[in-house]
Amino acid sequence: MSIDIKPSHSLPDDAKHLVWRIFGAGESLLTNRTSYELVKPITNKHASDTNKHRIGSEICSWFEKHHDGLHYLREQKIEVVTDLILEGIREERGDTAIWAISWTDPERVIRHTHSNWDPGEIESFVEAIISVLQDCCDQERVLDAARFLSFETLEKIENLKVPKDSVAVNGLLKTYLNVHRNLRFRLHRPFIHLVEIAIRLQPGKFESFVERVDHPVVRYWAAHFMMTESQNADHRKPLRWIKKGACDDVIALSIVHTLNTVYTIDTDLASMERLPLEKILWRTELRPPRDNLDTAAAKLITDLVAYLKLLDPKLFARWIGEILVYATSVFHPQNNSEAPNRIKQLEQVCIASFAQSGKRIILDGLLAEFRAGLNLSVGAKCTRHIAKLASEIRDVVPMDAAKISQEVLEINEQHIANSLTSGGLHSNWSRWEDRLWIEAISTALALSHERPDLLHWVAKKCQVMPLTVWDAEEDFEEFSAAHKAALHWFLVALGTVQIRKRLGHEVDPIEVCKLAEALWDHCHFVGMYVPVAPELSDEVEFAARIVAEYGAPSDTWLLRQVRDFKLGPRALRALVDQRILKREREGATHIHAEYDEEITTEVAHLAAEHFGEGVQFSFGTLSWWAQLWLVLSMSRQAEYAARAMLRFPRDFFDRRDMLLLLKLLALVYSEKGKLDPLLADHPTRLYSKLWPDSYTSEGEREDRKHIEESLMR
Amino acid sequence: MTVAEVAQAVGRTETFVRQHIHRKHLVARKEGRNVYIPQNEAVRWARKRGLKIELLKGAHATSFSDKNRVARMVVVTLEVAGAQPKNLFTLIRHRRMHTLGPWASKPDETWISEKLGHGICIFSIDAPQHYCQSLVDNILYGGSLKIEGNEILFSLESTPRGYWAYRDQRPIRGKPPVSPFKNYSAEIVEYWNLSHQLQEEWQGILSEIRDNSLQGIGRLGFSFDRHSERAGNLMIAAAADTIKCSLASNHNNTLNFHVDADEAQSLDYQATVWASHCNDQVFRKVIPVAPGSTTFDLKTDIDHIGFAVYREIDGQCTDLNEMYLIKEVPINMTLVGGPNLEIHNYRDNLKHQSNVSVIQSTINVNLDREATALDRTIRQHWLSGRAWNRECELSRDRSYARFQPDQFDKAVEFFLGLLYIHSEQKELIYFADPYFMHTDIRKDRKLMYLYKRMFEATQRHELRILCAPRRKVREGQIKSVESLDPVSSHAQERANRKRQRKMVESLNPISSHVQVRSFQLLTDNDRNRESTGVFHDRYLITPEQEIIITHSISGWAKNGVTFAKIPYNVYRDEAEWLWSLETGNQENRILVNKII
Repeated sequence: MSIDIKPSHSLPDDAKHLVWRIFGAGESLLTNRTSYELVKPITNKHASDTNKHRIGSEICSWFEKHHDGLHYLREQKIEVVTDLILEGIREERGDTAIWAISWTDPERVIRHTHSNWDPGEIESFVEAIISVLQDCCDQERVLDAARFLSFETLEKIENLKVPKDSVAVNGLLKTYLNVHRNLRFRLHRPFIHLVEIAIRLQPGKFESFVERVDHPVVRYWAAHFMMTESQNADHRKPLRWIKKGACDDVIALSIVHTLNTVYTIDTDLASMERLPLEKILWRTELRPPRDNLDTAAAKLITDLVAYLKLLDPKLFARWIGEILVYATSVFHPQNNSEAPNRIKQLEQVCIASFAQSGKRIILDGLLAEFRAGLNLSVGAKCTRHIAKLASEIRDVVPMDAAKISQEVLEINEQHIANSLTSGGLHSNWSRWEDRLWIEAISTALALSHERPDLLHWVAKKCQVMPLTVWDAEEDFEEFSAAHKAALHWFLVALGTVQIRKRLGHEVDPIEVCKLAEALWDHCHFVGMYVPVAPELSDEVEFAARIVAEYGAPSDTWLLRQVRDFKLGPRALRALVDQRILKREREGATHIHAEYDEEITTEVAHLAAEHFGEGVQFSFGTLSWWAQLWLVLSMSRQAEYAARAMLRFPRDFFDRRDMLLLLKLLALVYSEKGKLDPLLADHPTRLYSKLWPDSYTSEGEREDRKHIEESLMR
Repeated sequence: MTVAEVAQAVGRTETFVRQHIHRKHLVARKEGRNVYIPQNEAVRWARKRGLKIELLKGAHATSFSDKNRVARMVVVTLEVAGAQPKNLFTLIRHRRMHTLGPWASKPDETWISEKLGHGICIFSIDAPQHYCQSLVDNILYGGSLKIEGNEILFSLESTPRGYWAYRDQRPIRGKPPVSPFKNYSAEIVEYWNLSHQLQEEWQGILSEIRDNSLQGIGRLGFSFDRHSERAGNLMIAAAADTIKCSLASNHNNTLNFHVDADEAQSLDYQATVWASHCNDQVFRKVIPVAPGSTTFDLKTDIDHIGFAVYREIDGQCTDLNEMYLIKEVPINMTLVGGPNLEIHNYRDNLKHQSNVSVIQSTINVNLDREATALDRTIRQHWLSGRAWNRECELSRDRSYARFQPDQFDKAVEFFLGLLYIHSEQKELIYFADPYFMHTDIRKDRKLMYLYKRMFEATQRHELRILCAPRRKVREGQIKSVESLDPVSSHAQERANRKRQRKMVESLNPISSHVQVRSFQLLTDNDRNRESTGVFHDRYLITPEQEIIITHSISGWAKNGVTFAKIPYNVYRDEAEWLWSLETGNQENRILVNKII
């Protein structure tokens, strides 16, 4: 392949105007021909007869043929062609001129126009760009359909349109999240160039640009270029886009970018824990120790809410609803078990600010707007924010709080009823969002009922669900879905005990015990018909801990539970563990402690009878038994449990199980001073597998220390 | 049963019965002032003491009749226009009240009904067992049951049949009726309807609905659609729920047999527990039934477990359960992410939907991995041996035979054996092969030999051969470019037919009884240009049997061939229908050309 190293061109002056025409028509997404294919037709049409062949050949020589059979502009010619286009379109504002510019490097265009054009020319140029973008958005041609389809399908269809509606999801904030995650790079590259040129040449036109160019992906890029211009200089810039009368998309983009900035600052904060300051690539202008990053991020959130509060109250209510839903997508935690602090802060600020509306929440229909923002039809679990609102206003407008709480219960009731016919409720107690949701429903129940009879409340709901043995045998799916719903109602009722106590209301301990008993009874029954083990679920443990805390279980009650053993090993472990925690916290007298000790010993002996040597249990059940023996320090049973666990194939053991097994062996060794020959090799093997070197993760440090102490004795 | 009822049943005084209760020979339950004795307990006690007991006041009583039992009665009716609804199947399931679960309320004795289509209606009621028994008495006495103003006709034999339905979770065909209770076997009393008409009506409905099962029939709790012979019957199923037994295999080489029962009740039973691996009985034990768990250590891996529980007093098996253990589970996962985007192509007026990201994955969960190397190897040997044994068994009665490419001669011999017909009369034989004589047999010695032998073997009968036109045999598969040109493709087709005819004629005189026809499906769009084959399968139909053949004759030497006898007569119907079509008519959807 011959390489043309000529730095410039030999086109006559009167032929320079041909270049932008060729590239404008060739790069337009509305035509089907390439620039190379248009060289000859355009030179024939616009060049003088005398030298049109020479000019045509000259321009053609700027292209080279690639192995796909198409002709591409040689790399060395890009600069020349860009300059010729910029020169040629100075007077031109037609579509072809704008398409020609869309092909060029935006950085070069911006530099060139800033230094060579006067403000009036720049103004009209940006207007022309906006006009082309408007047309293409109206025609739904800005997204590259090829990126949505396979090559095979693409071959069969051309001139595809991607409808604007397909980009929108629930709410504007979620739409922009969708654009950010899935669609931003599906905008045709020329459009991204045009948006960049327009915004960077006239950033003051941002709001008007967003108002006029009606496409979320284009608007997203406009805000993106606004931010890249200023993020390292002014992290609070997007806040100022929020003004009375601003269009919804501008406000949405402001919220999105403000919250993204908060996330960015948090990322910098996280880097500060890991890296020396000089090695951190800062993403905003904030620098410690001059600036306190945590305070700055918190202030951004409070200021965002404050700016939104300047809008019409109904709009404010809707935006607050949307933000609360959107926040979980931005501040996604590393693990799902604990709510990130930033989300807690954001929710607190939003709800507290909205709660200040007091009576007007119901009177002025603000609640309806808030609900619309939360979009409950998509995520009914967002009712937790409404319940939080009710809780926040309970002292100021108690009647309204009760009314809102009742509304929450009704929405929730409907949600659960729907889940019965759509495969069952998806709820997981170990997820913080689900825990907060249940807590919110419990709050609503506590606020809307003066003295709720919780057991009766749960029983009434369970009795109307398909939860009898007939249902289990006739329609297993329906039965299984009803079981999930029943667990939900139990959790709500048990949570209500906690909330009532927190609110300073009375709690009947007998009722608490009965409630827990009913749950264990329910799980024992369902366990006979479902393939999972409900007696090992999170719910039974929660019930046990609530009983230990608020149920004041009598010794007789406790021993009866262990004798019947419908509660299962997980609940029993939790019950014993929580009793110990409570005793430690409250500091029992010597006599009480001794008596408690006796009861615990009795419990342990009764439980040991159910356990036997433990070989009859599945691995999952066995691990809960093992944890029970650790809590009770029963070395003989711990040894049985270790032996029983070791009968299972190695594949069954994950890190947590290995640690559990090692703890059992450590307990046995510390009590007996030696290990049975069959077990003797395992501590060394497990220890070196868990901790091959001196590194220990934070969560395991205490365990390791304890194990080392036990095995060293 | 009350004390008085027991006394009457054994022909002794109430004092006698009370004394036995007092001495704890007979277990009784106190409810307020009343004392009740479970019927099965009364039977046990009477038999142990050698007393003759007559319980069956109503013939429908099972040994589990009890005042504390609740029943669900489900009546499925069939109503033909203008006629009174009749019982299609009635099932009464009864069990102890406390087994219903913590949320069950007192049975409300209210009928609920649902129309399932096809004239079928389902009525159900929850009521105490004695209430349902009185309904059965009425049915037996009056031949009908009134529900919400509808009178449902029953036509039942007066003498019932008693038997047991056990639990069986093995996926095998032709099982006897399985217990309608998940955790218990059932004692059944069944009244039969011996009318063929109702059975045929029900079978007619079943063939109409085929795969689409009747929504709501699940409420019956019994797979009635698999037991069409029971149409019109009334079945009473008593859950054998005195004790509850379960057997589980953990992955720690143990087998755990668990019993839930009162101490007194369980002493009267014993159980057999078994387990096998690759059909070898590696464990079988008889044990006394005691509440709680009994764990057995196993020395080998297992793939099949079961247990049976027997009542000591009369030896009756009251529970039996068998199941296969799953050794491998393939799980398909499809994660669908991102939004659905609709793309409009206005030029062709097409809409395309696309999901942005789709991740598909298949996981194979192998539960066999904990088996020892010896067990695993034995299992592999057993599986390969089982396949071979089954093939041998089937080959013995010529139902199945498989031949490798190098066994061409044996395949031919087997095939000729299939063509042999005992009848002296002239019979019809159909042979379908889309590629029949598509290759020039005159150049292939082996094929020539096969066709010769085939024609010779069928000479006394009429051999009808069905094939596809040579140009194209499978949908979408165009053999050559010229076939797209209507003129040349027709000419080529004619030439092919001529060649085929010549090939068959070259085997004269032994081919005089042979007729060959080709069948092609003409599409509506372009009748003259496009066509597809009508059939794909290869088969042989003689008056005695229907055999499916995996490969065309021309491929036997290259790919081998398998013959399998099938009992459905589907191909026979298809062949007869195709042969009955008019030949040479271009207007028909299927163009039939007579080759010879």
